[in-house]
Parts: sequence; C-alpha cells; structure tokens
Amino acid sequence: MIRVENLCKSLHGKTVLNDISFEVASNEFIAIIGMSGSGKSVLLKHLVGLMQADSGTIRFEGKKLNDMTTRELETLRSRMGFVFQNGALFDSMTVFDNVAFPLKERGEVGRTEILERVQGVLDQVGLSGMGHKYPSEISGGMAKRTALARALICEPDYLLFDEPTTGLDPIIRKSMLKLFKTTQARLKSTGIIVSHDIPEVFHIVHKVALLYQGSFLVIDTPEALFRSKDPIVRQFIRGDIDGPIRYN
Amino acid sequence: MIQAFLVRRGSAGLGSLRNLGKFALFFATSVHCSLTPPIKFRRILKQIWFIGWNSLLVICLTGLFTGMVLALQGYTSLKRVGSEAFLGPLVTLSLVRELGPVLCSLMVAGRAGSAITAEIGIMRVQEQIDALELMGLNPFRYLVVPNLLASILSLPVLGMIFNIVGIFGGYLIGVRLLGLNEGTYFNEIRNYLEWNDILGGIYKLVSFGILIAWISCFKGFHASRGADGDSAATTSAVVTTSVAILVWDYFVTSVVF
Repeated sequence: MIRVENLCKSLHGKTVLNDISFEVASNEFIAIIGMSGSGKSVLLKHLVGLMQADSGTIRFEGKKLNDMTTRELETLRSRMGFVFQNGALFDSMTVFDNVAFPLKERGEVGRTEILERVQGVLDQVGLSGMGHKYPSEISGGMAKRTALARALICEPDYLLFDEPTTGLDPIIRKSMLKLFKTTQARLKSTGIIVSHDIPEVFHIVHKVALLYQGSFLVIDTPEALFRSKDPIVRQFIRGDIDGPIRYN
Repeated sequence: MIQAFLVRRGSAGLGSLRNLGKFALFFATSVHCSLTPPIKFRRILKQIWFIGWNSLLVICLTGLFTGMVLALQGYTSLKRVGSEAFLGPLVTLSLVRELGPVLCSLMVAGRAGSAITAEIGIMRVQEQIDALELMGLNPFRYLVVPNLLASILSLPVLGMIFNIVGIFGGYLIGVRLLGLNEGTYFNEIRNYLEWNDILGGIYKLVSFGILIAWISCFKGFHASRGADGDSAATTSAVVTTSVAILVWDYFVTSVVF
C-alpha cells in the first residue's frame, strides 16, 4: 500500500505540488491525469525517491520513504517496476540484455532461467525475435514495450508507469494499456499510471486522480469522473477548448 | 545596492561551497563503494580495456615524440657545456619524474576522461541512471567504481610504457641520428636513474588516475539536461582535469621528490 500525506514541492519558486494526499491500496491500479506540466511526473518521481519533497510524507506499507536506509530503499526499489516516458533503455545493450539486466545483476537465478524468463516476457509484449536488436534499431513503440518487459521481468509488487504510451499509434496504445491491466491483475501489483490517454486509460484502472494546479481536484472511480458535473473535470475529460481551464 | 551586491556574492559563494561539498561527497561515496562488495569485475576489465588498451597507440606516439624532442633539445644544450654523455639521464629523468606522468595523464584525460563524462552524461540525460537506481542498483557501483579502479590500475602501466617508448625515442635521436655512443646513453641512464624516481612517477600516475576518474564521473553524473548540458560537462571535465593534474603535480612533486 502507498500512502501520501500533505506532499508539497516547489521548483524554481513555483509551487508544483500543493498539499497532495492520497492512498493506493494493495492490488489497486490508479491513473493520475492532468494538464501537461501539472506535476504528474514530478509526483511519480517523489514516490520512488528520485526527488525529495519540501514537506509531507510518503509511506510504503506503513514505512516512511524518508526514514528508509539506503539498503531498505534499494530493497523497496527492487520490488518496483518503473516504465519511463522515454523508456530509459541502456543503449549499449541489446533488447535481450536490457530486459535480462535486473535479473542478472541480482544474481538470484541461473542463466537458463534468465533465458526462459526473458523469452517469456518478450513474447508477452510482442517482441519475440527482437532480442538481438539494439534500442537504436527498434521503433518507439518497441522501445516502450522493451521498457515494459524490463519492468516486468522481476514480477514487481509495484508497477509505476510515466506516460508509457505517449507517441504511440492508437492500436499499439490500446494493446499496451490492455497489457498493463492484465499484467497488473496477474501479478496482483499495486499500480500507478500517469497518462494522457483519455478515455482509454479509464478502462484499465480502479481509480482516477485529476491533478490540477498542484492539488488533486478529484480522486474517484472512472465512472464517477464520467458522471462528474465539475466544469474543470468535464472540460478535461472531453478535451473541450472552451471552459474554465485556460492555457496561457 | 550594497546589500544586493553582498547577497549576490554571498549566494554565489554558498553555491560554490555546496558544489565543493557535493564533489567531496561524490569521492567519499566512490571510495566507499570501491572498498565494499559487490565489485563488478567484468565492468572493471571492460574499463581497463577502454582506458588502458585503447589509449596505448596515442600514449606510444606521444611518448616517442616527447623522447625524440627531448633528445634533440637536450643534445644541443648539453653540447654547449660539453656534457652530451648525459643525454640519456636527461631524457630518462625528465620523462620518469615529470613529463611521462603528466603528459600521459593529460592524454588519457583528453581521450578516455572526456568519453567517460560524455557516456555518463548521456545516461543522466536519458534517465538511464535513474533507471539503474529504480532497479534497486547503486549507480556508483556500475559507473564510477569501474572507472576509478580501471583508471588507478591503467595509468601506472600506461605511464611506464610512455617512459620506455620515450627513452627509445631519445635513443633514436641521440644515438642513431646525432651519433652519441650507444653504451654511454644506456650506461649513464643506469648510473643516474634511481628507484625513488620510478616510484615517485608511479605515485603521480596513481593520483592522476584518481583525479581523471573522479572529475570525469562527477561531471557526467551532474550533467544538466539536454545536448548542451552534456557537451558543457565534457568540456568542463577535460579542462578541470587538465588543470587539476598540473596543480596536483606541483604538490606531489614537492612532497615526493
């Protein structure tokens, strides 16, 4: 379970996160949506300890992230699968080596098992036969699927996705989102996805949180958001140009 | 106005202090990770190949021509005072005590140090270092420790090769071109070269190796986002390392010799 309490963060004098509080229960999958630059990725980076908050607490299974020793933090992170917006693949390694990397480095399983598990996860993400290619030789969609495969290889307890489908064509996007859902359900992971894919992302999550001006305007089920009378929520979900949200 | 000036100066000073602290902390973390398991031996070997083996050609070329030019200049100067016989010791001691370690380190800093900064900088910009951290792996053990240990191990060997090739270059010019007696050249080297000269050179090379890896990795690790950030970090790494080598050389020389 992840619990965030009163999280605040300012960057370059601008408040990015303002008193954010929410909770993600075990096995729950939640989507964080919001305008570009609203702080969604910043929030996700706080959750994994890549950024430090000005104030507030983040707890994983009751334990404060800030109180964790380096070893505890490494252990927690080894139970996470994080998919970066740009994939963050190691460009000096092949697709196979990228996916196998976390397993190899932990040294908990033998070579044969690594081979089987990597082949298995590459099959799942539709990359069979692509293991020998380098990240520079594959398409953006394939790179994102490789990143997903790398995140899944250790069967993590926490799945975190930072705009994993941005820039993909509609068919691949939908198949990726479906894959996220089935994987999260199969692994019984606690998941958070930052996404702009509205309404597709609504079909795969239990809850949606709308980040607006540094705070969560609403955290509710996708159905409740669809029914919402709040003009900001309605405008954002429909993608209307006219409404209370204005881009300057 | 005076207050604004003081605030500006003060905040700049504090910023420099903060960076210095980060720099020292980076080194302390690197040393700690170098002395505690797990050590990534395969990556160390790979970096020895990259820093050591791949620098060999440029080290040999630089060493050869440094020895040759030393012999050419030295012979002319020594002949004026009728001491051409000491050409061998002149070339050898200049190389072993000073020029070998310094020039060899500057060449490695330019060739390998810049590449290390660029590689780590790109990994920083493309969030690959963040990815390592989020796998529960310590990026220092993957990126810094192998470079630090490989640099410490490679530099003394490269420096010795530089010296040997340089002495051979001096022999080519002094003996083969200018007609100095071959026995005189080598016998005088044997008479004047001491173990302390060689050890002093090795101390220098080890400390320069640490400087190259430390500064190059630090600059790459703290490269700012974007291509500009990476190129600025690479330039800064080469300049800072080169200046640090020359400054540190003075202090090591004053202590060791």
